[in-house]
Amino acid sequence: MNIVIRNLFRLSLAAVLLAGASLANADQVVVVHPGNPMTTISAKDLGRIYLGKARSFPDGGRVNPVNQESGSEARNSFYQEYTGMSDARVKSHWSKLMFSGKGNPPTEVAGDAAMKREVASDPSAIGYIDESSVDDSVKPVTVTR
Amino acid sequence: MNLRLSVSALAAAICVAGPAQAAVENINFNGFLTVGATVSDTEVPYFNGNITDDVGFEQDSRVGLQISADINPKIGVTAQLLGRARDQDYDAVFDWGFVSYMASDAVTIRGGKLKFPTYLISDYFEVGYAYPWIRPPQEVYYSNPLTTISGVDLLLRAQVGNADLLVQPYIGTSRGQQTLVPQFAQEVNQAAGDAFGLAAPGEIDFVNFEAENLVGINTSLTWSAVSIRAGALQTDVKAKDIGVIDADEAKFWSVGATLDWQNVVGYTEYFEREIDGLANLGFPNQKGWYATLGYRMGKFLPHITYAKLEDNDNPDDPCGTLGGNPVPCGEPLEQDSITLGMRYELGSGAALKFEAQQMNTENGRGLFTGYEVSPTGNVKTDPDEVMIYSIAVDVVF
Repeated sequence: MNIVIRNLFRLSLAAVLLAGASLANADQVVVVHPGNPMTTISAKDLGRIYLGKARSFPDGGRVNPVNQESGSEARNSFYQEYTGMSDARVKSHWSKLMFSGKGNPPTEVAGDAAMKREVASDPSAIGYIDESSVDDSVKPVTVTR
Repeated sequence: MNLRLSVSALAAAICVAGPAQAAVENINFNGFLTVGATVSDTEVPYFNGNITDDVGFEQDSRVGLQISADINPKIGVTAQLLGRARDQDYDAVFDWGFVSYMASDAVTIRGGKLKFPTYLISDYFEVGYAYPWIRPPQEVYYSNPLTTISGVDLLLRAQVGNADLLVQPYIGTSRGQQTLVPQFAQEVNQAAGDAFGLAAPGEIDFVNFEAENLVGINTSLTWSAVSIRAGALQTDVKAKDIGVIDADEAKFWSVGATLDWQNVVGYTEYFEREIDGLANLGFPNQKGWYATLGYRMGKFLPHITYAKLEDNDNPDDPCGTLGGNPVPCGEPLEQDSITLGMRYELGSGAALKFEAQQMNTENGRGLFTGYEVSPTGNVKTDPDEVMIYSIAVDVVF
């Protein structure tokens, strides 16, 4: 009996720890066009795409990143997670590229519904939405570390 | 905010000269704005004459508007309009604009009027929001008055280990305008019997010049927290206003590095400039460097900069002849400065900045300009230990 309780306790502790670990990633899911064969992308490649350092998917196809609205919590936590940069630093980074004519920041959309429409309509798009918004119109991909 | 329009009517308006039905994927309008005020503790005007002991808005205030459009996934056009308070009350000029062709992820070719990178931040020099200072250190950045070329460049990109390599060769021609080293030019002018027809003492002289056969290269390696850069350029300069008719060779080279690690922000650069012949009168051989260190604390970024400008083995007189008479070489400008600054983020895309700069000039001039005009006549002054205070708001939109 004692052992059972102890094991139950251990199990629930493990569950809490696991939940805590995935909390770091909020409940954000990276999504691509359903026709895109990609199933995983590394966190590093994702960061490079959203900073304009990579212009292609790792497999070589052209990538068209799509951002949530400037100042939105979704966007801030996404950049913090995959580039380690605050909103102000990201803004400054893109100002340098954009105003020296070396690149334009990702297209911007307001909210998950608009993000899904954008990604669903463009085979080269990549975006991110809340896990609860995922449906058949887009394809989730796993981000690897 | 990044405004994107997929409007074919606008696209057609932009592509009037092009073949009909050019399908423009999207058009971006972006802009930047700086409103800044400055005051110094001397009557002697600094550099272009816009910083004096009267509070003024002319030195730093400016607005820029950028339009870019993708003609197709490989071809794009980008142009920037710039209006500066110090140029005839914000008369907007077409600062630069080009067509770019992305041959591959690794190779982009651009042609048109290009902002070229003499130094680290030269190609976004006007965008105050993109750097910590109100004015990039003048001891380095004022050494090349040329900022754009009509020509072509190549952006060659590669990944080298964990770093991104950029190699950017460029070639073209340029023209520009620079404040003449005034006291000295006045002396030469008077000695030569007003040969150059310069403005009266107390006023600022600008010299128009042309740069031909301008070729250069910019290389940088960028890691996540550190980037290093090296560049060199050379050109043949003509300045008819001061009798420089034969193209005199001008060379620049520079190295620099930036750091953005945890909360530590750093910038440093070193340059040398060498100019032969008569052009040396207005543009003597110089070298200079600066180092900036800052520490980000939430929305605040306090920073400190030391900068120095000095002689770079300027040749002995004369540097040429004009009408058979020998013309002396220019007198190198020498000064150093310490700047204490604070940048404060005003939400997304806006920053408020304060700076206090103490400048120490050598041989009485540094980057100061002009004679002091007094009721009893024009007096040559030797400003030393000058303080300049500045405040600015930078916005990008």
